Amino acid sequence: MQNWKEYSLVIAIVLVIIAMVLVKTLTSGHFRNDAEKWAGPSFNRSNLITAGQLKAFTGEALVVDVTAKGDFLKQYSGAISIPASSLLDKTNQRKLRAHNGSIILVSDDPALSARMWMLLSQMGYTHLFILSDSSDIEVLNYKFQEEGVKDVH
Amino acid sequence: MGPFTSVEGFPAWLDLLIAFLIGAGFGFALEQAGFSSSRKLAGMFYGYDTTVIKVFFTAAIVALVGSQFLSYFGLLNLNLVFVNEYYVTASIVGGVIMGAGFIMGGFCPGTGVSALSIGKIDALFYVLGGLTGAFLFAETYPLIQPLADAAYRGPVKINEVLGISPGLFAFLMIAAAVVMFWLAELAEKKFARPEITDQI
Amino acid sequence: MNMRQKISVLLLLLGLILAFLPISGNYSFHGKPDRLLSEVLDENTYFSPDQVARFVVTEDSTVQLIDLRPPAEFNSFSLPGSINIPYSELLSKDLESLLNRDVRNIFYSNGDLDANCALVIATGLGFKNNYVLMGGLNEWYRVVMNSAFTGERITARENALFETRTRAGKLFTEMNNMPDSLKVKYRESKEIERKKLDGGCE
Repeated sequence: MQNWKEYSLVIAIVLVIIAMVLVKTLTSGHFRNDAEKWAGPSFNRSNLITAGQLKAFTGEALVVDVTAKGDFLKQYSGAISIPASSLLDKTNQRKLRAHNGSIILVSDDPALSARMWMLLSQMGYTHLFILSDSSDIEVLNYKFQEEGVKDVH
Repeated sequence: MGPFTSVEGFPAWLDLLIAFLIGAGFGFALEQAGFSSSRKLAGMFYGYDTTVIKVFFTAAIVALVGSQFLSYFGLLNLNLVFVNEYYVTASIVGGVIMGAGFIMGGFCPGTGVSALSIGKIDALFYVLGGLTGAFLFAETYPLIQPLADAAYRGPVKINEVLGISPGLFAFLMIAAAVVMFWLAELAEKKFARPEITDQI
Repeated sequence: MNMRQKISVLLLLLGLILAFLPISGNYSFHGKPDRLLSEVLDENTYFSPDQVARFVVTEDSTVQLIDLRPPAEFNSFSLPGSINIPYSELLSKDLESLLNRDVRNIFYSNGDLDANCALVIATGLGFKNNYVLMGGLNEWYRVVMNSAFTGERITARENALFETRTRAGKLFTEMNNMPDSLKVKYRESKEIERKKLDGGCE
């Protein structure tokens, strides 16, 4: 293997690939590996937080209003408005990444909050929560019976 | 071109055309490697000609490396790639039958077709025999279903079973392949049969 | 000889690079986040309980209802024709055969949380045609099962809605009242039908 010149093509290809890999790993703003890991908090509902829990929260919490018009800004001190459609803009991403504590997503549509939570979580955000009215968000309010349906609540 | 996300949304006819061109390329590669000769193929089992293992393993590791890198750079979606389901009994029994057929007939299904396309009569009968066998399998399926469906493991991948990352598995596979190529070259020297290899 | 050595060395080096890459064998989201964002902000990814009631009543085969609740809840009752993929096991299943079948996947759970998370997962992994039932089963009960009309007159449209809801409700009650053994048989026959529609060797 003394003839390096003969292997120059091989070495060139390998170096190009290494460069591409380095570029890829060092840039942010793309999805992380292992979807199951980043979806984890949603499996045991530990990504939910109620208003009461938020008041008692001791850490640094950034409330992010993802509605289009920022309807919730007044309700929470220090809340910022990032409409969902501009959630991935560079400036907004910088704000989110710069925050050192927990980020709490709030909106009037639980479907929207859930979707934004999953999207951001898969991009590597930890300590990310959804503000919900109650902690039994996935509990059925009705009981199925032989004759028909009975309202439990 | 499903898993390739960089070329999504091709019309059906274009997908089929690409499939046709890929198939044509494969057939061309088989023929120019000399795989239409049953003596070359049988040489794999007797040791005097190990081209088969070199070609097929090279193809496998190139595909392995290519697909992993394309997936890493976001061009290929490995979530969408079909993984064959593993039925242990069926794999073993099928492997034995195919191995016996390979060395007796001197062809395997793909090379049988490529030999047929250059006009070999024994390839014609081999392919007809293959089709008959497939037909018999379909007709007798209710009888052999317990055998065919036994020991189902699902679409498993080796790296999952071993608990290593796909990248590490790729490297081990390549290393194993290179070792095999080196052993194959040794075998060729040991089991040489110049009276056959000079002619094919 | 030289060419062979070069190729072997090249492949070994590339393999070495791969061995150090942080790839996991599990499912990972694919593509650019911008693309996923616009796909999940699409308003057309929601179905109302009335729309799902129509699918149930007409036994629409272009639609696959997917129940994300735990198996115990699924066995006690579920929407007719739905399959069960517990949300916590979503990423350990063979999703290519469950979600990639040229039908519309409609995810539902008791509320909105699991269904919408599952939709983002399915879309992020690259599967197409994903939808959710708005409001989940809570909304289904409120709108379809408990449907009633007040007032003296109803319009033709309201009448049609009411009919669909009643029929869907009846179907729902009937199917979920079947004894467990019959339920299992029904689901198995649906599974066979589903596989036949797929084709292929299985």
